[in-house]
Amino acid sequence: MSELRFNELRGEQVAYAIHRQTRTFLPDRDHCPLCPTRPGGPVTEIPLPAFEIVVFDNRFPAFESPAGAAEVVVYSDDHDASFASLTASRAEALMWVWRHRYMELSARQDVEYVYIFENRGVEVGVTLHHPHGQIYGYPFLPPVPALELAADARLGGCAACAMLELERADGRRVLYENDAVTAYVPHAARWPYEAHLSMRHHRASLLECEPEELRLLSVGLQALVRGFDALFDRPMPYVMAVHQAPTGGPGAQQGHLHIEFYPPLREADKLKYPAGSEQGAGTFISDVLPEDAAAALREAIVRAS
Amino acid sequence: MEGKPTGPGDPLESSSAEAAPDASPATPVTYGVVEVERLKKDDGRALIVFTVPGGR
Repeated sequence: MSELRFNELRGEQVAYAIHRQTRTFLPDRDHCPLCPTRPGGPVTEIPLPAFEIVVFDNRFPAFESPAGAAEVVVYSDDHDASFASLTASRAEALMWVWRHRYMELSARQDVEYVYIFENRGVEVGVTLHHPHGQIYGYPFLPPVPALELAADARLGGCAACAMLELERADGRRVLYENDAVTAYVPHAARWPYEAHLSMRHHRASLLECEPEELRLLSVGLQALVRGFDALFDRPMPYVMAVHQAPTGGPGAQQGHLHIEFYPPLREADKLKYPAGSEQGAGTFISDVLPEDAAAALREAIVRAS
Repeated sequence: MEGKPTGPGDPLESSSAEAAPDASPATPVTYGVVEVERLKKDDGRALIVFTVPGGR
């Protein structure tokens, strides 16, 4: 069981999950715990010879009942797949898997925020290469979604809607659009090639999306991640963060579904490190103007389509 | 967290067994474009299998 301690100077919770120290770390592909359990092969986390998408409780949870949840979402039984390489129907199915997990975890008394995310690449700390994401059910509202609620209060309405309107009116940083989503590099992006993909209509969570919106969400996400991979002609490491409404507390049901990507590369072989200014003062110093990043990413998305 | 409502539910699946976290295990039900089957791993952890009917 993890222990929560409140860091007074930062005004935030820190979770101590010391059992995670022994979790599986970059195993060779023959011992991947997220591959299917094939006849004659090693027993893995998934006792099936083949599968499409599975979700299971994390063996090394950062949060667990009765104080939250930690789940693993495996996108494919193909060890070498990625979100970008999934078929269109599999990517659409994944949106319904996310929605299903949001629905069920949001009903739990010990979950105040359902956070769906993917860490891709060793550059962002991946310990298993098999294509997968994770879901944390936090027993409290974490700082980043709390900041989004504060932005709503500051602007007197949905901040994500306001940002989307500004970005679409400006146009220079817009990367991709379909009838349901817009992807853009934010005006004040923190990471060199940070991108946000936002629902065009106000949708607090996946639960408020129409089926066609979920399909178009998957189409937009795949266009964006394929563009990321084309940008430097290499698999782009990133953190993918699905932001939606908290499920408990005063901000419950208030939010705007959008997905943020934080790729740590500033060039094909150079990392942007969150260092002195970023960690110690909280101010990002970026080497790339968002307008330039958007132009390059836009071209990459077209090239990858 | 005392008094938290039971969650928003799903407007598209309000009458579905999927709205209940303790739905019967190993009985696939349809949720949107996926079928959902609940299993238990040997150590008791939940395993949920999602399939796309008619295609991979």
